Parts: sequence; C-alpha cells; structure tokens
Amino acid sequence: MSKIELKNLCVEYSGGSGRFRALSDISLNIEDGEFVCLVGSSGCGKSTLLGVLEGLNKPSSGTAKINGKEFKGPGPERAVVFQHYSLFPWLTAKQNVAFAVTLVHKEMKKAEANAISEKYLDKVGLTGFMDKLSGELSGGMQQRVAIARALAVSPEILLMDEPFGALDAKTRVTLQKQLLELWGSENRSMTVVFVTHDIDEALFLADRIIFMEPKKIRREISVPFSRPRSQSEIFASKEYASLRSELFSLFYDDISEKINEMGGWL
Amino acid sequence: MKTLKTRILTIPNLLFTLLLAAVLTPQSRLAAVPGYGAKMKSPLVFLCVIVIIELAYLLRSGKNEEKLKVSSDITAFVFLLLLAWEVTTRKLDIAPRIFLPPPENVFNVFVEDWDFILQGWARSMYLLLTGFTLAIIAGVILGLIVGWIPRLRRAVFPISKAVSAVPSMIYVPYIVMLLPTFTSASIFVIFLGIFFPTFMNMINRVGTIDHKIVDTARVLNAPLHSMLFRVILPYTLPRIINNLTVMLSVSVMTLTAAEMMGADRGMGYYVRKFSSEINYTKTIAGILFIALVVSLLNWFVDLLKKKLIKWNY
Ligand SMILES: Nc1ncnc2c1ncn2[C@@H]1O[C@H](COP(=O)(O)OP(=O)(O)OP(=O)(O)O)[C@@H](O)[C@H]1O
Ligand SMILES: [Mg+2]
Repeated sequence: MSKIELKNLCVEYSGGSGRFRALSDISLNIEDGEFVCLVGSSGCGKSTLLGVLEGLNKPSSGTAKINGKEFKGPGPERAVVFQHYSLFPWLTAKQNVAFAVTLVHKEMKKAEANAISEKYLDKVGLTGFMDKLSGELSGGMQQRVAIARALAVSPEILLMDEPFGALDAKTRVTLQKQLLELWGSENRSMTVVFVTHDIDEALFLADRIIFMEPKKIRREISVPFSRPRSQSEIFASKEYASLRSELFSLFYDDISEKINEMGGWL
Repeated sequence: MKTLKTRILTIPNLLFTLLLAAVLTPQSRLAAVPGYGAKMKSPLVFLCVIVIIELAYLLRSGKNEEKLKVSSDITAFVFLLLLAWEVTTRKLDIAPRIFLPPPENVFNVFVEDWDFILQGWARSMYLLLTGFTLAIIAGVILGLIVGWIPRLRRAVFPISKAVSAVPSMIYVPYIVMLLPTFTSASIFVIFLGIFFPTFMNMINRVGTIDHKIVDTARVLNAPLHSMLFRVILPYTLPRIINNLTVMLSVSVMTLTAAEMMGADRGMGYYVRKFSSEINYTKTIAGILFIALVVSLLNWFVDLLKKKLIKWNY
C-alpha cells in the first residue's frame, strides 16, 4: 500500500466563466518516506493537485487516498507550507507554532506546546526571534517559522507549495539544506510532496520528480543521488548534467508546443 | 540663555499672560446697564482651568519634536478661544450676558452644581456603557457567525443594511414612549445605534477575509470555534477597535438625544432643563461638560487601541 494513492483524479473549478477542468485523469502513487517534487510550467495544475492532498480542493471524480483510506478535508497527519507567508500576524513566532500544536494535540498544556514550539524554532535557527510578531520577521524567517509550525505537529506527510519561491537565491539554498537536514533527522520517515518551478531545487531535494504538463502528468523521473546530499557534489556529477538537460528539454518542449499553438493564432 | 528665552517666549505662554491680564482687569462699563450685564461670579474656577492647561503645557513631555509642536499649537488655540470668549463677553459685552455668558460664570457652574452634574454623569455613563458594551459584544459575535455562513450572510446582510440606514435618532421618541422605563429605553436606543453598524461591519469583514488566512487555519485542522474566535476574531479586531471611536460618538449622540426627551437625570437632561429655563450659563456648562467626557472617552479608546493592536497588516 502506498502512502498516497491518487486514481483517475479530475478536478474542476467552476467560476464566472463556467467550468474549468484543471486536472484530468491523474493517477499517482507516492510511497512512505518518499520525497517527491512536482515540477511544471506555470498554470499546469501543480497547486491544484497539492490542494487535493491538503484537503482544500475536492476532486470532481476519481479517488484520493492516504494510508489506504479516502479522505475528506485536511487532517492532522498532514502539514502544509504555502508559498505565501501564512503566519497569523497577531501572534508571535512562538505563538504561531504553539497554536498549531494545540490544534492537533487538543489536551496538551500550554507550557508543553510552548516547549515544543521553542524546540522546533531552535531547529530552524530562530532562537533569538521567538517573541517577534511575524510582521517583524523577514520573508525567509517567516518561511522558517512556517516550516517549524509544519514540523512541530510531527506530520506523516509534509506538503509544500513553492515554499521558497519568493526568497532570494542564497536564502533559498540555505533553507533547502535545512529542510533536508530536518527531514533526515527524523530518519526520513516523513513523506514530502514539494512543488517547485526550479529544476535545480527539484534535483537537489527529490527522490522522484513528477513533471506535469497542463492537466496531466507528463513524465516521472527518478533522482538517484545518495543521501545525505551535498549540493557541490551533486552539481559536479555527470548524472546531474544529463537529468538537468532532460528536464530542461521537457520544459522547452512545453514552451515550443505553446508557441506552436499560438502560431495558429498569429 | 538663548534656549531659556525660546522656551519662555512661546505663543501659548504669551496667550496665557494675555488671558490672565484680561481676567484680572475690570469688566466693561456696559455691565452697569440694568438688565444687560448679569452679575459676575467668582473668576476662581476659570483661573484654575487656565492655570491647569498652562501647567499641562509646561510639564508635557515627549521625545517626538513633531508631537511637542502639535500640543503647543493646540494649547495656543484653546487659549485663543478662551481669550476671544472673555473679550467678547466680559470686556465688550457684545450681547446681553444671559445670552452670551462670560467664561467665569460658566466655569463657576461646575462648582455650584457639582453634585447635580456628577449624578447626571454617573447616570449617563451607566446607560452609555451598558448599551455600548452589550451592542459591541452582540454585534461582534453575531456578525462573526452570520459572516462565516455564506447563506446566512447573503440573506441577512441586505436586511440589516436597510434597517441600519435609518438614523437611530428618528425612532428615539417612539422607543422612549414604548418601553416602560427610561433606563431600558435609552439602553435599547444606544444598543440599536451601535449594534447594526458593528454587526454589518463584522459581516463585511468576515465575508471578505483573506482566503489565505482561512486556508491556513483549515490545513492546521482548526475546528469551528477556533476558526471563529482564535483566527477570524483577532483578524477583525483592529477594525472593530478603530470603529470604537466613531461608535462612541454615535452612542453619546443618541443618548443625549434620548435624555433630552424623557430623562429625569443625566448629562443631556441637564442641558435640556436649563435651556428651557433660559439659563444659558448652565446650558453652556453642560455642553462643555459633555464635550469633556466624550474627549476623555476617546482618549481612553485610543489608549486601548495602542495596547491591543500591536501588529499592522
Ligand atoms: N480558484 C480557481 N478558480 C478557477 N480556476 C482556477 C483556480 N485556481 C486555479 N485555476 C486554474 O487552474 C489551472 C491550474 O492552476 P494551478 O494554480 O494549479 O497552477 P500551478 O501549476 O500551481 O501554477 P503556478 O506554477 O503558477 O503556481 C490554471 O489554469 C488556473 O487558471
Ligand atoms: Mg501554484
């Protein structure tokens, strides 16, 4: 049994301009403890797919199972990090994390939740910033708090939608490393689904890359690098170069198709 | 030496001196005309008020240069107004003193009538704060719930919009007549005046809440009561508190209007009673007192604002 099983999944949005099919007939299994990256050009449905796993989007047909059971809505076994900074602005960093902890462990005492919060903020390197309101933190720090908040509830599945998309290149790399370390420190028992535009990010993080085209999965690519990974080693390897060019050509294909489509227009 | 000079020779200090001089020099000759000039009361209370303002001005502290300037300008304006009042009444007597009483007499009322005024104040505050608090609590909680349920929101919003468009002043006489006691009537009137705007504001705010906030709370597995009271309520809190100032003015307005119709005590009653007795000295004192109370309440709300809203968004 896979950790996550999606079968013939369709998602439709109904809005002002009628029905729009964002995902059509997606089937995908993700194993326990796997780190999967969803890659694809903008608008192909990555966030929509992740939204199904988050429990925020309802499939219009097909099934979505976690641990073999169909789910409705969000659940305590899953934690989410959004691209946008999603902290509550009226709470401090510590309160933000502790709030999430008390929502999952309802009978837990406040002091205990605070201790857990401090432990995870420590882990993401925010020891000196625990009592700051989120508005007083930089974007990178806010995203670290969001990661600490997600990890503090010890989820089985971590869902991340371009969590580092809005950060500068250097902060991004630091946080990627930190994420892998944190995941490794929990014996890589957590299943991670991570959405990104960035091919290098996907190659550094993932066990498997799911490349999407609009509405569909186009290709699945295994990333064989051993763990723990170091960026410099990976970047120097031959495999990296070939995987990278494969992914780039997929991206490029996608774009040239689009240009062809537009050609009919012009 | 120079700093001392610039600190003493300020506009407020200059006006303070002029004001003192005006109060301490003789009144106009018109005062002797029978029926024209009413008898002057002791200027002691008025002088005390002037000196207190001047002391507050001299002892004011603050690091912010800009704020110091503003408070100095405010003091100057207050002194200027008092000076104009003093000059047009006691010095020039441009109108008979029953219509345009000098400030000495008006301020002296606070000492003459202190027990009456204080009783009225306590009465009014009781009505005001009861109606106000009940309305805010009910408006916020009901607005939270109605705003959160789309079907309810779409049905209730247009109705309460229509109801709240009617100024509460209009139904004050009817409600004062309808309800058995004046206490219940005025609390109810204040309640209505505050409830609907708060309720609508809340519905609006909850209905247009940033979906990211809601999504975040949902993926954190927040149950309904946490969603409402630990996420949406704090999200809307700044707006509620910002509106308190306006709401307070509205409730003072409705209460005074109500008191002028049916009360036997209270700040508004005081003003009505003496204006119908053609005692404008006391009428003006009553009006000044209401202004003072409202300013103090607003100041208190501002303090609350600073305490409660620490984040900007
Ligand atoms: N709430 C919505 N209502 C209607 N259509 C939507 C909605 N959200 C997304 N879509 C449409 O569904 C498609 C997929 O959107 P989605 O956000 O999943 O793309 P994405 O792959 O995450 O893109 P990006 O990389 O830019 O975030 C897009 O064409 C988009 O216009
Ligand atoms: Mg997206």
